[in-house]
Amino acid sequence: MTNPLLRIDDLHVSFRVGKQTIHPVRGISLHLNRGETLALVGESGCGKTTLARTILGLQAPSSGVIEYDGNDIAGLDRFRLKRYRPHIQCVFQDPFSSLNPRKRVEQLIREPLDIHQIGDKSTRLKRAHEMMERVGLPIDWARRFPHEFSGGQRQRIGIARALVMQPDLLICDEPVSALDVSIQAQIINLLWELKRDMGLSYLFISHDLMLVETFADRVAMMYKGEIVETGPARQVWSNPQHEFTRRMIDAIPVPDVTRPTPPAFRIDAE
Amino acid sequence: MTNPILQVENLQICVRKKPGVLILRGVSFHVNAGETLAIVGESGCGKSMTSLAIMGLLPDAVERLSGTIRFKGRELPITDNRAMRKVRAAEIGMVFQEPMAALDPLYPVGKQVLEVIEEHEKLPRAMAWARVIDLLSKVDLPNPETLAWSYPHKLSGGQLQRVVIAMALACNPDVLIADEPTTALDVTVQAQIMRLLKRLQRDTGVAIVLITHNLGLVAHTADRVMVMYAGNKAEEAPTRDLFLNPRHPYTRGLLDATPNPERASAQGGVLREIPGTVPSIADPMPGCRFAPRCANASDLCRARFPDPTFEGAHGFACHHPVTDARV
Amino acid sequence: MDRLKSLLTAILRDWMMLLGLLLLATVFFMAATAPLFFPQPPDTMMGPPLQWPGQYPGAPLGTDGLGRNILSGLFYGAQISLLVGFASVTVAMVFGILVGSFAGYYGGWIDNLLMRVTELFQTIPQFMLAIVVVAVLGPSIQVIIFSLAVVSWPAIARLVRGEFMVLREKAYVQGCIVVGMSDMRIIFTQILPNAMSGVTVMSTIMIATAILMESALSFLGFGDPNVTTWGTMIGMGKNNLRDAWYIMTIPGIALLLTALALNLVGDGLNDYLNPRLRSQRGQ
Repeated sequence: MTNPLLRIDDLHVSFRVGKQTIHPVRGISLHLNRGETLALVGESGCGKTTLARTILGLQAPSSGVIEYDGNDIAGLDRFRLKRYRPHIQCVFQDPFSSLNPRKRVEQLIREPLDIHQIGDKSTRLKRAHEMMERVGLPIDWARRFPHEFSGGQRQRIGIARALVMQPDLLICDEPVSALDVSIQAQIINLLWELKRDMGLSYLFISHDLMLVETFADRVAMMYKGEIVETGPARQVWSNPQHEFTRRMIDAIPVPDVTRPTPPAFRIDAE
Repeated sequence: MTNPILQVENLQICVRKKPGVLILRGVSFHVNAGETLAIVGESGCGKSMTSLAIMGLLPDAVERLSGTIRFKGRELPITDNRAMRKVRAAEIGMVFQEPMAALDPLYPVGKQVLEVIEEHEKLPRAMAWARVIDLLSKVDLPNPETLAWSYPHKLSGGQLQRVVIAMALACNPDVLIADEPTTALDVTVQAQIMRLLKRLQRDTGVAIVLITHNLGLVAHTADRVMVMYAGNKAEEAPTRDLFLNPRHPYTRGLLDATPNPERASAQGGVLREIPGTVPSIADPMPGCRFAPRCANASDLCRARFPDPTFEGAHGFACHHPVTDARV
Repeated sequence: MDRLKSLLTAILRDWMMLLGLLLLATVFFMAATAPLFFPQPPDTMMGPPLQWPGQYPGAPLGTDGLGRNILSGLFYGAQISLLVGFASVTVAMVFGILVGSFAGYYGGWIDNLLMRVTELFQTIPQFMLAIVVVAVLGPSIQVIIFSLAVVSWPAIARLVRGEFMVLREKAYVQGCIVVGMSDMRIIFTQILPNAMSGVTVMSTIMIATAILMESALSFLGFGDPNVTTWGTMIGMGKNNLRDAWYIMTIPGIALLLTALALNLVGDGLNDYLNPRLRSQRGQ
């Protein structure tokens, strides 16, 4: 029984906002195995983004364990955390604010290599161009700025930047929510291919259970700071155990006219 | 069995002073009394611009090049703001995506609904206020007498949207335009709002134009669907027909790209994608604007925009429509 | 190249900014060519006193109470005005950016400390402070530049702090932290370039203010006694206000036009930088 790549045990995160203390993560425990896609699904305000930020070291936890490949990284300071950075990367939701508008695309993609001194000057640029190709961006656009690209293309840039150091774990925080459906499909397919080719593991955060059902191995449902249900994706969808999961599934309109209207949409009873 | 209450004929909207840059390229459709028409499309298809045009709310940067919009048989003076003020809310109501943006943060929500009523009807204050409370309870807001005095920042997104719906329906309009009314809301709240809209439709007979990119919503709430792409109407059909028998390759592609846990995943990738991106509005392509992304495209497609074909109530604009039914 | 082209087109469309730039170019021209046109120092008594403009050949703008060439004074004064204006604001910018960026980025006690210091300087009336510094350290051009910088930096610090507080929450900055970038690198290579547009616009206005303050200091007698500035010329013309009012007015107009020029350029820059930013931010 190999160790999971990521293991979180009884994680709590609370902080002060003005005069109040809020507690967005309340005792979360989960694990992610190598090569797996774990989807974390919840509605707005459930704490999923705070959890992602905590795993990435952007937010300090109050208590609990975050174990990456056997090492506890919870609450490590920036300096000690640095050596784990090449292994754990992320893709954010908003394609418009997730890239520095003043940097050229090739600069953005090679920056992580510069920071961690991977390779040397000539190989870094080459590697950046390779990543561009890999994510489906034309290389002759390498010296353009982010605002010259569409939303979907910007997400590709973000993905290239996240994967240029060949991490093991990629945390995706709603990476396709701001994109059109047809572009969503392109990006999901890209993420799928890259996972297969580069041997990645994904923690995929989303509010869209239907979307994650198409490619996630396991699903964890998050509600008010806690994980209320976990299981294989198919099972969570077809046989939900927790009331929150059931309520959500009852409210999701599946784009299929042969299925009955979701219970939450029906007005006949009134 | 159509009874059109709203008719859009050949509407063309371009960037002001640039007739070559078209946002809407000659769109025609109608809405029947009491039905729900969904307008579906992705970024750049022009669906929001269509709704703004109907309400006479086109931004200064664009102008109508040609085409008319008829409401109850008479033409709407969409460029005359004073005339349109009488139409808005009283005859055609509108609900936008962001409820916080539609409400003034400085006034209690009840007062804002009251304002809509007083703008269009001469009622004594007491009667108008009673109607406000009645409306707030019709949209399922708890304790309407107290809630009417709440300020917008105290209410949740779902509650705010209900207030906005109350405002839109306050004067019993015949048509309600809902532009992405639930996109900013959680899935469970979305279901509540859509159920509310359907119930209100059943009780008042209002026609609903639902503008959305969410095909799931469309499948379960719309009577008819119009699919738009890059400023044109690609396809129009009763909902069931569209989903089971899409004729335009874009519609087919869109349906295939939409996640559906019940269908087996497509071969190749995880989701069947549509390659490429929407063309820029300044691009003067002579033919069909979907051709660069279409597997069925031919030289004819690139040369000439297809005339609409009709099979009963099912219309589409394509030289090489899809012929096999979806699995 | 593209950016240069779009800047040039924007300039041509905005004639007011063009006017400002022309005026500014004239002042620079005057400063650069002063020794060329007027080989004698500006305080040379080169003709009869109190000559009106056009009256005495060689002094097209007339002479002052001691027979000094007013046009020559204008040209040499331009040197001082520009030097003091640009130098003091440059020093203020360096200091203000350092303080503002650290305060805005780190927040917490660093922000508190730095802001209290900033407020200290801001609550003392600017001009009073400038006079005090000059009075204590002695009137020379270097001291004047220093005192004007001391007076100007707080506003820049506040602006930069505000920009940093907003920008540090941006997803791309958070992303840089995740990539493993150090704070210094983030502050100077990621956030600062994006914060500069507001600072650039503010600096043009500040140069105008600095030039005006320098003139005021000179007028009051706190200026460097060894140089002729527009302020000293105005001061000299005090006594002849009734009959030879041109002595005060001409340098006064020069000041007005220079300050106007800088304001116009600042406005133009603001218009140019903001819509571009909006489209860069994808709005």
